[in-house]
Parts: sequence; C-alpha cells; structure tokens
Amino acid sequence: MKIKQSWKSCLLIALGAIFFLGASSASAAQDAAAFYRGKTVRLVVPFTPGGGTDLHARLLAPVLAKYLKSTVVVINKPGGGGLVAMNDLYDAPRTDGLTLAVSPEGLPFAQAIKASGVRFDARKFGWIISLYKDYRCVLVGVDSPYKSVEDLRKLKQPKAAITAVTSPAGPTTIFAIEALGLNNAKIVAGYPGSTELLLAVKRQEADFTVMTKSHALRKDALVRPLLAMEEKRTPDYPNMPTVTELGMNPETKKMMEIILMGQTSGRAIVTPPGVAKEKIAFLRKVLESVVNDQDYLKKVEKAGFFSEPLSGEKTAASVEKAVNITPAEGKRLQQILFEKYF
Amino acid sequence: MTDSIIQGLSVLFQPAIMVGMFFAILGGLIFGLLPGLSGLTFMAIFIPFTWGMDPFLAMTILVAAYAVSCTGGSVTAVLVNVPGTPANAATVLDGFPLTQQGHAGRALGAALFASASGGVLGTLVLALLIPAVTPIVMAFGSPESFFLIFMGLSFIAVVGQESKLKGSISGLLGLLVAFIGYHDGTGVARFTFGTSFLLDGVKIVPCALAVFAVPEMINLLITGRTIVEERTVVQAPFADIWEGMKDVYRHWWLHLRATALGVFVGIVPGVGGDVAVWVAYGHAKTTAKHPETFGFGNIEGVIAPESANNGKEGGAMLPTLALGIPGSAGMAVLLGAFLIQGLQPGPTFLVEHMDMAWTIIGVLVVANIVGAAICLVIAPQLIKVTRMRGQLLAPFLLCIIALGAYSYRNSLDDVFLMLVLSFLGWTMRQLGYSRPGFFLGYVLGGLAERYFGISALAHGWKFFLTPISLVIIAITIFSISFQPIADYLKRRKA
Repeated sequence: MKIKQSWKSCLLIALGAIFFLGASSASAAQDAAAFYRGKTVRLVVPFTPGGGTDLHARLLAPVLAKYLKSTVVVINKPGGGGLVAMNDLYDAPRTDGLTLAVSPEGLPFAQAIKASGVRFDARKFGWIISLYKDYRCVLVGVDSPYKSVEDLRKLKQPKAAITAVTSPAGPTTIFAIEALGLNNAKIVAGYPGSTELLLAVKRQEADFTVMTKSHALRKDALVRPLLAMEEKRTPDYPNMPTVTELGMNPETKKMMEIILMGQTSGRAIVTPPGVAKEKIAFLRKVLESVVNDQDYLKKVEKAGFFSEPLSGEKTAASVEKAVNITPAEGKRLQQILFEKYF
Repeated sequence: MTDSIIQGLSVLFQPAIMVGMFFAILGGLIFGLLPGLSGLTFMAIFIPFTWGMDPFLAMTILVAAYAVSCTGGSVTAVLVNVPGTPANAATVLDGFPLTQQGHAGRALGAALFASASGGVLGTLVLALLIPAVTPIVMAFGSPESFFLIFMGLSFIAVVGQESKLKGSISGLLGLLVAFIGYHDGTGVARFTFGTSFLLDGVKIVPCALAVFAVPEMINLLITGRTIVEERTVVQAPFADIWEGMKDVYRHWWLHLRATALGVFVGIVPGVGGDVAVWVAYGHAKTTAKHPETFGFGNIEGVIAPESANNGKEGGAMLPTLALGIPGSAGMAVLLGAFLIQGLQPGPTFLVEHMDMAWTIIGVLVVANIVGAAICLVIAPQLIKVTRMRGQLLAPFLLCIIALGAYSYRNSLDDVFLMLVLSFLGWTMRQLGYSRPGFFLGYVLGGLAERYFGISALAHGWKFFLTPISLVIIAITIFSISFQPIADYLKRRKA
C-alpha cells in the first residue's frame, strides 16, 4: 500500500512537474509574445540598401511584423563585407531582443580563418533561423569553348576571377582549384561584384568563376555551370557533377568540408549575444512560421531567392562545428587561401 | 516596333501613372536635396511597396524618382555649396562662386536646364543605342576601364585653380585617403588604425561634405556675412534664371560633349557616374578659352558636370535593359525591382516587353523636364537663403550636413570622420591647396588601383596593348599637353 501510495505520489509529482514546466514554458512564450506586441524591432542589414540581402530583409520585414504584432524597421549598416555591423552588435549588444540582424554568408568561416576585421565570436550570437543558402557552381562564359571541367584541366594557366579571397565565394573558388588539381591556376582578384565577374568570364578575361547557380538559370544567361561546389546535385542540373564526386585527397576533402560547413549558416537571422533564452526560443518559433508564410514564399521566389530554411538549432550547431577547427587546420587553410596561388 | 512605342508611351497619359510620377518626382527631388539620401535610397525603400503594384506604375515611380535626384542635388550645390548627391560634387566648384557674386539665378538656371536637357539627350541616346550596347560593353574590359579612369586622374592638376604643384600634392593626398580600408582582392585592411568602421574606406558622402560644404560653413560663421557678397546688385530672379538657361544654349557644343561623356561613362559598368562629372568638368576646363576663370564662377563649369550627371543615367540604363547587368548601383536596385515584378531584363526582355522599355524611356524624358521645371519655379524663393546672415544660416546647414553624413549608412562614426576631414578641407582651403584635386584623387584612386590590379593579373604587363586602351592613352596625352604646347608655340611666335 505504502509502495503504491508513494508510486502514486511520485506520479502526481511528476505530472505536476510536467504540468508546471509546460505551463511555465507556455507562459514564457506568452510573456515573450506580449513583450513584442506593439514594440519596434530593428532588423539590421549589414549591407547597403538595394543589395540581395537588403531586398530579402525588406521582403521579410512586413511578414515578420505581422507575426510579432510589432513594427519592424530595416536599418542598413554596411561596411567590411558585413563585418562592421556584426562587430558592432557584438561589442555593444542590445540584449532586449528588439534588435535582430541578417548575418552575412560565411560569417563563421571568416572567424575560422581569422579574416582581418573579425572581432566577434560567431558562436555567441543567437542563431534564430537560416533563411537561405547559396548553391554555388563553377561557371564559365556561355560561349566559351569549355564543355566540362576536363577542358579547364587542359589549360596551361587557367584564370579564376574572384572579388576577394574573403568574399563569400572566394574560399570556394580556391577550393574548386584545389579539388580540380589546377596547380598552375592564377587568381584574378579584385572584381567589385557579380556584374563584373559575369562580364569577366563572358569576355574571357578570366576562364571561370564561382558564383550562385541563379546567374546561370536566368534568361539570356552570360554564364554556364560546369561543376557544383556542394555536396548534393541540384534538380536544376541533374547531370552536373558535384565537387564531392571528384576524387580528392583526404586533406583537400577535409578543408572542403570546413568551407562548406562554414557556409551552412547562409543568410541567417541572429540576435546579439546575451538575449534571454525564452526570447530566442520564441523568435525561433515565430521565424519558423514566417518562412512558411505563403505571402513570404511567393515574394522571395519572385525576387529570385530560393527558400531553404534551416532551423536555428541546426544553424547554431553547424556554426559551432565550423568555428571549432584545430589550429593546424586553420593554419593550413590560411596558407592555401592567402599564399598558395598568389 | 511602332506599336510598342505607341503602347509604351500612351501608358504615360493614364491618370494613375501621372499622379504616381508627380509624387515620385517630388520625392526624388527631396531625397536629392538632402545630402546622404539619394535616388538610390528612395528606390531601395520604395521597392517593397511595389509588390502587387501594376508593373508600369511601379517602374514609373522608381525611374522618375531616381532620374530627378541629381537635379535636386544641384540646387543645394549651387546655393549653399552642399552637394546633394555625390554626383553634384563638381557643380559646387563654379556654381557656388557664381552665387557669391549674386548670380545664383543664372547658375541655377544653367544647372537645371543643363540637367534636364542632358537627361533628355541621354535618354535619346539610350533609345538609339539599344542595338549596339552589347559590343560596347564587351569591348570595355578591365584594361580599358583602367585607362578611362586614368584619363580622369590626369585632370588632377587641372581641376583646381591653384598652382599645378599644389594641385598634384592635393591629388596625391586624395589618393592616400582612397587607399584606406580593405584592399580589393586580398581583403587586407589598410590604414584602419584597428577600427572597424574604416574597413570599407572613407565613404563618398562624408568626404564630399567635409571637403566642400563644411569649410564654407566655417567661413560663413567666422565672417558672419551673407553668402552673396555685400553691395552686389542682385538681379530679378526670373531674368537671371532665364539668362542661365540661355547660357546652356550659348555653350551648346560643350553641353553636347559633356552629355556624351556622361552617357559613355555611364554605359561602362564598374566605372560609375561619380567619375563622369569629373571627366566632364576636366574636359570643359582643358578645352575652354579661359581655363583660368574656372573655379571663380565660370558658367561652363556648371554646365559640364550637370549635363553629364543626368546624361549618365541614360547610359547606365542601357546595359541594365539590354543585357540584364546593372551599369550603376542605382541600376542594380532597379534590377531587383524588375525581378519582383517577374521581369528579367535582357535581350529577351527587349523583344517581349518592348512597350515597357519605351515607358521607361518616356518616364526618363518627362521626369527630367518636370523635375527641372519644379525647381525653376521655386528657385526664386530658394535663392533668398543666400541673403540670410551667416550666423543664422550656417548652424542650420551644419545640422543638415551632419544628418546627411549620418544617414548615409546610419553611422555616427561617419559624422566624426567628417569632422576630422573637415579640418583637412578647411586647412586646404585656407592654404590654397586644390580641394577638387583632392576629391578627384579620392574618387578615382580606389577604382584606378582596382582595375590596374585586375588588368595586370589577367593580362600581364602587356595589358595596355589593346586598341581601345591605346586610343584612350592618346586622347589623355593630347588633352593634357595641348594647352601647354599651344601656349609655348604662341610665346615663340611672339
């Protein structure tokens, strides 16, 4: 009887605990919801008005406002390829949860290779959701003679056009060279943006570049893809091989994995460090609904973004992995990226 | 073809489009007047609202506001020496001295009429050149872009009214400032003193305000006088404005050349409109009969840059419409707006949506004319600020200037940077160093370095051996040596 009773009371306590926890988490979510209602949320875009990230944020803002029941203002704070705004958020964080930012792509990777200007620890940001990740390919001019990557291998000195080694596509380009074994390759760096890169390969000032597949998919494209710099083939080009299908030596493979991991975070929504856990949980739930909103999906599709959201937890986990590389790996990465081809 | 022209242009007479265009023009003018905000900002903010809007209305509003922002910016440049957009920076050189001499109306008339006419002519060139744009854009690789910028740099010693030596020193100082921030390509940070706000370099808006606007404000405060020199006979505003408009007609050949330069520089992606005005100004000065009067209120120094800065938009529109690649930052934003409407500019677009292309051409023409007309109508009222006492006017303008530096990228750092550079600007003004030379070096330095680097990497040391490069080099040498040689020959004869 006694045993039975204690069993019963245990059950009761357990039930009570579950109920209490549930209620408290429900009330925490309610608290958070009530906190945001009617407030003004700042969505910091670390780039100038009019770029891809800015446009994406401005399409997202009204939908986010609808779900949060608050006003969402987009604020542009450009500089250093997005690093200036992220440094600012890190140095002087507004921990009330009313400031969100769209992190630039490859943010954890920039930290991993100790790019100049990085002052933050990407792991400390509150990763809410990853909105979108670029699918990058090796691209050649649409009327260039190159039919496959084999043709690039035959060149005496293949030239690759990039904006900068520290740009989101920069490391991927260098590892395309590594993976293809183009030891004589020359990197032509300094192009200001995608327009100039497209023109460079179209004019054959350079032989190839690495950019997102969207440039090849558009009407009257100036470029054509040869190799996907991703793990999986894309339905858009089922016959195009991926870089992981090439026989790479283990070291190159490892470095490639680090790069791909560092970019998994893609274009993500983050909070500054130090925002309360309940608020982050609430924001994650809200953003989960936002990215599945029909209105939002229609808008981003028209604007040419693919919606491939990745949950906040998963994004945070891949950021953790990308930043936690061994010092030897970091050193080797730096050597390949900044010295080998210059 | 004729059908699509009529269809495209008839859209402009729909009431909704007309109302939309009118308000867009007002918006564009106001954004242009305020330093730090420009047509680009207007478009970026407005694009989300175009969602679900009729595509013709959406494009009309965006293009109209963008087209007139340089027109608005010329008003503040002429009246108070504050370039409203970076593309108006060259206008202050002669526009403001004219204002000080009591000829604000004339300078405004010339600036606005040159803007409108340059915008319209640029648009016509756009319409005519659509079939030829691909070869032009493709012919301009990195080496050609470099030499085009190099031609601009060759004007460093020429643009100011100071001695050639001081001009060159100023230009080199400008180059130094241009090299602050990330190095293109390698991503190495230079001269940033460990701060992160200098990573992207010194931005053009705070720099233009510091070099041109703030020193003038300081002197207004010190002297306490009005902008117009005292005891100047101020003419009836409308007669004066009319005089300025006639000036454009009197210098029609310069106006045409400057517009053509603007269109041409606009077409070449990656060079940009901020360069166009300086090339036009330098060209005007090197080919003028009295280059020594430039900088002291020569009306030609107003006509050239203002013709170029509205003409360049027609040029920049060309690669955007015809190839789907933007010729300027503003066009990149416009391209985003097209995508939202489900339109992809490019050769197919021109075949399938020819009417839309003609609507845009029509909007550019109408907006340029209406925008200038609005400014001309309110000009007599605006000119009154030049007779306000310095101590009243300067603090107010300084506030607007600081706000402009701040709003460019929502950063207080830019305001402090502007203050630091203002000290440099004022010192240069007092000691007679060339501020235009400094600014030209600053605007072109980064671009020159970038395209020199790319050219050398892609083509090796022989990069200058392309036909177009050689032609540009020849023009550059001719334009800087023509005047000295002519002077020398004249002296020998005498």
